[in-house]
Amino acid sequence: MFCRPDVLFGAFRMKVYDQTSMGGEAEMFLTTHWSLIEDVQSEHNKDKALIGLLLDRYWKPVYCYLRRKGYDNEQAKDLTQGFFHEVVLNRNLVQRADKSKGHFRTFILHALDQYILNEKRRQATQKRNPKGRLVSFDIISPPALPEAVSRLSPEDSYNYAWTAAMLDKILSEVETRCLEDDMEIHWRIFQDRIVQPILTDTEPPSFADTCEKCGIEDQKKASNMITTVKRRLQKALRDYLRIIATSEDEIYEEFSEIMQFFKKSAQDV
Amino acid sequence: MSKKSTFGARPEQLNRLLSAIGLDKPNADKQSDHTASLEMSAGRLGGQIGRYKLLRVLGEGGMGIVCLAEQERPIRRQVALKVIKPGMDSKRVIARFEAERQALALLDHPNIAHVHDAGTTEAGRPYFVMEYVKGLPITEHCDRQKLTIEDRLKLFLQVCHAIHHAHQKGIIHRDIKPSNILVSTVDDQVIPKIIDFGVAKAVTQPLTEQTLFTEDSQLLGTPEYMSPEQADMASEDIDTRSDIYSLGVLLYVMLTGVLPFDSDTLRTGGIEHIRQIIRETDPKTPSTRLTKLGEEAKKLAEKRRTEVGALSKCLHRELEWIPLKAIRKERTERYRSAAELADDIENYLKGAPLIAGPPGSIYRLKKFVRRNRALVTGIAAVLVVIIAGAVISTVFAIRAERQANISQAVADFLRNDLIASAGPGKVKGRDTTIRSFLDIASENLNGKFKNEPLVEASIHDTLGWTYRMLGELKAAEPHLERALQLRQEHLGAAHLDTLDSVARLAWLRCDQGRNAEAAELLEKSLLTCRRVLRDEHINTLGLVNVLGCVYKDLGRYDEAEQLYLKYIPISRRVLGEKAELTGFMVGNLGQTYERQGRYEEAKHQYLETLSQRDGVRDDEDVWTLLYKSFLARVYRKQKRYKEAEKFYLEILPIQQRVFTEEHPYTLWSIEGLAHVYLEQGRYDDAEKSFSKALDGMLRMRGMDHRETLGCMNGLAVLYTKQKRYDEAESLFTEALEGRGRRLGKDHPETMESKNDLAVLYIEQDQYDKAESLLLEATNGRIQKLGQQHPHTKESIKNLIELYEAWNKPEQAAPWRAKLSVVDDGE
Repeated sequence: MFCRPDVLFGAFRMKVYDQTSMGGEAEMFLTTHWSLIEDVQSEHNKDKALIGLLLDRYWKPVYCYLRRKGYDNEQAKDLTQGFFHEVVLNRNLVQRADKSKGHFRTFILHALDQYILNEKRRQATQKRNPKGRLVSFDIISPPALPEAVSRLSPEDSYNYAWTAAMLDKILSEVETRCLEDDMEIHWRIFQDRIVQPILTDTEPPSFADTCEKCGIEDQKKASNMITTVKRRLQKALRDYLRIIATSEDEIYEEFSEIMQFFKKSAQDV
Repeated sequence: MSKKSTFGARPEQLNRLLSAIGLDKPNADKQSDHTASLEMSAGRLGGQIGRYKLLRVLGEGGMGIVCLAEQERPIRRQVALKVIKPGMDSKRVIARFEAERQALALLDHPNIAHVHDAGTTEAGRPYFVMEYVKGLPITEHCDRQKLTIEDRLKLFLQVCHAIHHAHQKGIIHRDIKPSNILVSTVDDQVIPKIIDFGVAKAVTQPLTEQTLFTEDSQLLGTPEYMSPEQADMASEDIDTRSDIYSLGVLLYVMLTGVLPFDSDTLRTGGIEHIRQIIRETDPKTPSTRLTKLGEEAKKLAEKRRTEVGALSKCLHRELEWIPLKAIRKERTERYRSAAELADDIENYLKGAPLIAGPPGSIYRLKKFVRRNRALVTGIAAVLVVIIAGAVISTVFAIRAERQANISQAVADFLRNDLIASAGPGKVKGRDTTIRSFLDIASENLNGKFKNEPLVEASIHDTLGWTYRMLGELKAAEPHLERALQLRQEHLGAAHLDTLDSVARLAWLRCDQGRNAEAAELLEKSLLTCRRVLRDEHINTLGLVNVLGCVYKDLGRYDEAEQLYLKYIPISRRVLGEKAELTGFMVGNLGQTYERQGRYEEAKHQYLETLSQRDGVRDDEDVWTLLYKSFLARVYRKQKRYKEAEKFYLEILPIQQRVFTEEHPYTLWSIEGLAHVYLEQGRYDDAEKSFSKALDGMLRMRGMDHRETLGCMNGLAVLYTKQKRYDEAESLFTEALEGRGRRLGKDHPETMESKNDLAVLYIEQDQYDKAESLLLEATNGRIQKLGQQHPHTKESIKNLIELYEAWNKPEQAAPWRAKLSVVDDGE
């Protein structure tokens, strides 16, 4: 699987206000992804590239959803791959997509439901002929569904995986950029004070300790460095969401929705 | 670094992580607030703000929202109405605008959008009404039309001229960026128009955390175009050079398609990060940036109808120096005005040396060679030009055949040894200069011509003179001294070549400001010549000519006059009326008169020498041009400005063509013209010319040279007239100090600086300061120049004026009496 943060983020700037003549906003969801793909020569390669890209970005939530739906690893894998092929190549799902379903994240989910139904009708539990696929999809090691997720509903696990994938992407991207820009200390402080304590359920070290560890004399300076990293993450988050949002307003809405989801989940768990 | 994935964390942990990052409400919300509030003010679009009817939204920016509106009274027209975003102190914004309104009203330039009006909406938001300009941001226009580099430069020139116009009216823009320069096409004419004059200043706030980021962390303002002083301080101490900086960034982008500092790099740091980059980090050169862009560079080059290689080369050779000079961190190192920036663009377009070029004469010399390709090919040919040039510069009539044999040996040596030692592999880029060739020759010379001292002397002579022509006085000295020594030894003191060396060394001493030593050297030589060769000998006459010049420059006018009056008739008799040397002496006598204020006599001498040259020499003859410039100068001193200007304008283009822009003769003419403008009250033109002359002199002669100091003084006088007192005082102080040191406390030119500085103090009512200076100047002038000299009279008049202004009529009285005696005596 390929993962190229420099392709997906970086200098990408896109107006998402364009309406395309075909498929309306739903088509536009996919269209917005084109700009992430470089060096695509032909239509054939374009499709291939798009499938690859969507797989790379969104396979986890789809796969988790399918697993929680009851499919085993192989079946889930198969369906994931088939789904993205279907979305790109046949456009049926896209064209039939219900605009009222709103954001891309939820649009994919509903398209996925549609796809599963179709496959069931076509006895989709049979293994498909891999030759029909443009892009092969190999999970090196199947993701063990974390315990917390295994208790979530399929839709919740889809959202969970979607969000985790998003967080992984933006954290990785910002880390890379910080290192490139000679801001290793910035990133370290942010990791030590914010990320690690959250992910490991530990108390963050004191500012004084952090400063000493990183060789910074001034706590205020350390605080500013954290703010700087935060801003970069916010920007990365916006860029990530902008691809799938139809307007700037939607970015915030999408984010708020995700935050709501987690609040709910936190209560359940 | 931990690469722990978040996949596996509990949902609640993901929630906390997301909260820690946070995402505030987007701009869109603010903007729709904005629009909503605008609509509240105006009802719907179609409503009114003041007497303007809103038609539609044109766009939104960091400052506010811009609408197309219609004005009905007093005239019906469409305007652009900009409503400033909330969060600004409206009263303060409007007050600041009002402060500039009068000046803005004076802005009348085809490339500046007029600001008509300002006010506050019912909701209390400030708004500005501006000329509606329908066009694209300049960078976008250039890319869409795929303008070549040359076309982009020509477009940029218009912008510079407009900015300069505003600066002259005392208005700084403060927010120059592509979106504030809109290009429209009217009747096939492409017209860039600068918008938002006066608005940025009214609205601008200091660069702090609050002003820099909106609540959702979107960056306000355009740090990419912000000068270091704007980024650093409160915006009170911004001057025109801030705009120069922004213009530099704009030029950078227009040429290369990229910013000097990457947007991402700037905008994803905190405020300190931004400040630090703008203030401290040196931008990469445009050619370097281009080469690092890879594939993107191809597209950028295509938009300029060229290829990456050609574009990079074009930038690297010299074009990129221009934006780089404009975006220097130190404002004193930038162009001094938008006009100067424009001049340099024009210099580039016509192949002239750039102001932004490297220091030293070598670049200029190379430019000269490049511009005269018909004359010269290859490095050897360059050297031939130098040698030939060296020959022309001496004041002796050189007999061609005498030089022929030695010249050949010299030329051979220089060509073979120089180029051979440099070698094709060693010639790299523009750092291999004429200077380095000379250095190699100097080294190679050691011990090479042991048995041919005259050849060695000749080479030393040529090398020394070439160094001197390049302004490398320290390097020149040992060579000229050695040449003289060898020739004295082997040819004797009275030999023409020896005297040639004496004269050259004397010139060098003058260059070094060691005029008194030069006089001594020449006097000694003259004694020998008169004894051995007699007065009628051409060698004696040649020496006399040089010595007279040195006396004149030392302010020893009587001695100079005596010398010339004695030997000119001899020269006429022995060499002829039309002989070069006779002409030189007549011209030098003219200058001696001129220095004494005897202008009519000076004019007579110049006219005479010019008449002798008519028909004999062409218009491009060095000396003809020089005498014409002297004539122009004396006309100016006689206040015959029309004639003076006519002569200057006639000879300047020729001088620029024949010499270089920065040849001393050209610079003298430019400075002369500056004085003509100054005395006619044409200050803008004067400033342009003074600046040009001074820059050239600083580069060619350095700070401490008599001519540079003189030019500085002239510029300071201009500043005084323009009431730029601080700048004037600073320059006067420098000129006075330099002249005192170089020429002596009693020198007439030092007195001049004292007098002029005193006048400045009088203007500022600092009478006590003025008095001591003026007394020194006046008494000094009386002693050195005599009471009849115009400068002496000028000083006396200044003293009278001082005491009258100071309310000390009893002190003025004796001076008034003196003046009437002087006037009666005329």
